[in-house]
Amino acid sequence: MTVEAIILGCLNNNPTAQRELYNKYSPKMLSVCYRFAQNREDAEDMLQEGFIKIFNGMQSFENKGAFEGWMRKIMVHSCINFLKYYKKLGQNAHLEFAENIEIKEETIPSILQAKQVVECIRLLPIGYRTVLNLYAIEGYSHKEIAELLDIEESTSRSQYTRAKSLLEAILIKRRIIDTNTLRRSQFLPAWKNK
Amino acid sequence: MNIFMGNSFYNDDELEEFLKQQANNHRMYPSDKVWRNIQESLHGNMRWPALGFFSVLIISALVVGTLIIEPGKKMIAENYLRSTKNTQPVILPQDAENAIILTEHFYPAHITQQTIQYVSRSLSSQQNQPPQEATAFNQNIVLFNNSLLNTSNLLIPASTLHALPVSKDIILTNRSKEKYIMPRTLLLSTAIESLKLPAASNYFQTKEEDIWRSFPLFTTAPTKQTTFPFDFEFYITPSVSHRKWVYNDENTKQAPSLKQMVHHAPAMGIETGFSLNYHLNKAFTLKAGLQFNMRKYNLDAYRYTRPTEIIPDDNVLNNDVADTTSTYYIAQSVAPDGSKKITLSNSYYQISLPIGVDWRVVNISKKLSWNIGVAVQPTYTFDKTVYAIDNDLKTYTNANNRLRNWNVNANAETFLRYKKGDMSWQIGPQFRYQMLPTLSGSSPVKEYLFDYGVKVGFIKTLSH
Repeated sequence: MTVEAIILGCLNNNPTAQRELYNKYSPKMLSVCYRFAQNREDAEDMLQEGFIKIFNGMQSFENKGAFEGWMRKIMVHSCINFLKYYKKLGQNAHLEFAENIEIKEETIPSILQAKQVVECIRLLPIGYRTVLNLYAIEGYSHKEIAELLDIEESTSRSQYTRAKSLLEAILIKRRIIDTNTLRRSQFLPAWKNK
Repeated sequence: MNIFMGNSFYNDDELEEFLKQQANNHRMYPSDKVWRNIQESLHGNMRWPALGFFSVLIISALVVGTLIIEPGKKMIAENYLRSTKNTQPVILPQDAENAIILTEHFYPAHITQQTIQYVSRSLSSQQNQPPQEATAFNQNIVLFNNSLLNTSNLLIPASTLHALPVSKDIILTNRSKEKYIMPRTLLLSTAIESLKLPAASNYFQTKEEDIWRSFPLFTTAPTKQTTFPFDFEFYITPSVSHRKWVYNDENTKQAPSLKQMVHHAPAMGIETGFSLNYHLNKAFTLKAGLQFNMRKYNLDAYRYTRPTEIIPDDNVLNNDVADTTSTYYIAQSVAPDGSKKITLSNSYYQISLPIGVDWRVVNISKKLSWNIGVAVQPTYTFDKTVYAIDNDLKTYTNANNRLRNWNVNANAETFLRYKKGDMSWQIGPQFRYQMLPTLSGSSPVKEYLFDYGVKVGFIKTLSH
């Protein structure tokens, strides 16, 4: 089925079309949720809530831009709402000092580089991780992040700076990125990361 | 290592681009539970209806096929003959072993004591020879029942009689396995024409007893005829379903306008099933069976969709999006401006085990009777969509997880039954009521479902 046919079917509440949509986009969306969640179970709960909102709100998609982008926005909102509802953001949102963070290398499975990078992101404290996900990957501005997380814009900026530095250190320690070059093309491939 | 030393080894844009690329390449596959929960949230539990529907379809097809598709009567007769082939000889007095077996269908009730005494004397003079199957006469079987009264067939055609060897007796057996011996002495002493029965048109003018007195038939060891007291019934009841409300607590009672505010409407449902009936006596019949029910009623609601946040169109993904939540209000008077009227549907799919009794009140005629029936039905709901009033007394909430899956229903019915042969048909109104509340736990109102409809049934008398 084409994306247009799937959308039309979902607008008509067709279970087959809804299943097609889910099968097509759930792997990527679960990845989005996993970067925000503390564990896989939370990620799946976020995914479930996000897709229910997507199916119930199909009428509000007005063909302005990519459908996947629209879905992704809803999924990110679902993740943030989940973290807020279960008060998980409040635990580390204002973490100021992180020098004592222990990088547990043994927790990072060495399979694929993408998975390694995601796992490195998930090593960050949840507040840092959320800001980094929203700014660096999802493309939100600091102003939008501040409104979304009920924090100051300056807090968002400072948390992002700290998160980025911490993540760089983790990626270097895991040899996922090379310290001796500035060019993206020379980021070490996974098979050299031994 | 001080990770906040401030030296970034990379251009910020390059790191962000790298992270974005890696994150977009990452895939994870959710467990099956996630989709099932999504599907259940959107459509309810979809698994059981297909199973229930196909179970009902298969059961109905088997029942209809058994009742309607019967082997032909000739096939029955031929199979009966074939079944007697190479079997032990019929139970006969020793003197009557030399006989030809013919199979006929006729009324055994017309055998009189006089004829029984006659054959007892005659049998003593028979020779002792083994009986032979009269396969040569298979084609001359005449079904001596009401359906053939309009034919001109004879009990034993003249050609058949002429072909009979005079040294042999004739043993006639009927459907009830009674054996009748026509001694050959009767054939010898009586002209062939006298064995002919009157023409069919004369049946209506002649008492059947007179026919048999002039045509003596003798029984040896008649099989005791017993009626099988079991029936098989298949029925279907198109019905209208609705609910009764009872306020649950004082707070709700103080909101007397609640029942006036909501608008619910009955909807069509159906019940179908089968039962095994046991006749205690001529008046009372016990019944037990299996039944599929679908109940439904509609609710008017007012949906209010509230946008929570609009994201401006100035970012990489270049989209506006509104996160929305919908609330269903019970009436327009309590719904916010901008609410849209919709119809929700409460539906219940159930399997029940009706156990009851029928009472034949009066026989209107030989074939028509008026009956009353009652039954108790333990019921299991295997699929449902239920909206219930929330504790705020203003909105509907999905209450699937609070449904009482096991419940008890009671039904009462009255019907006319028409019997023809071993088949009966019945039709009449039925009322069914749910004894326990639909939802468990606390809720502002208690709901009791009920249905009323017209039940149509087909009953087949079972035989040994």
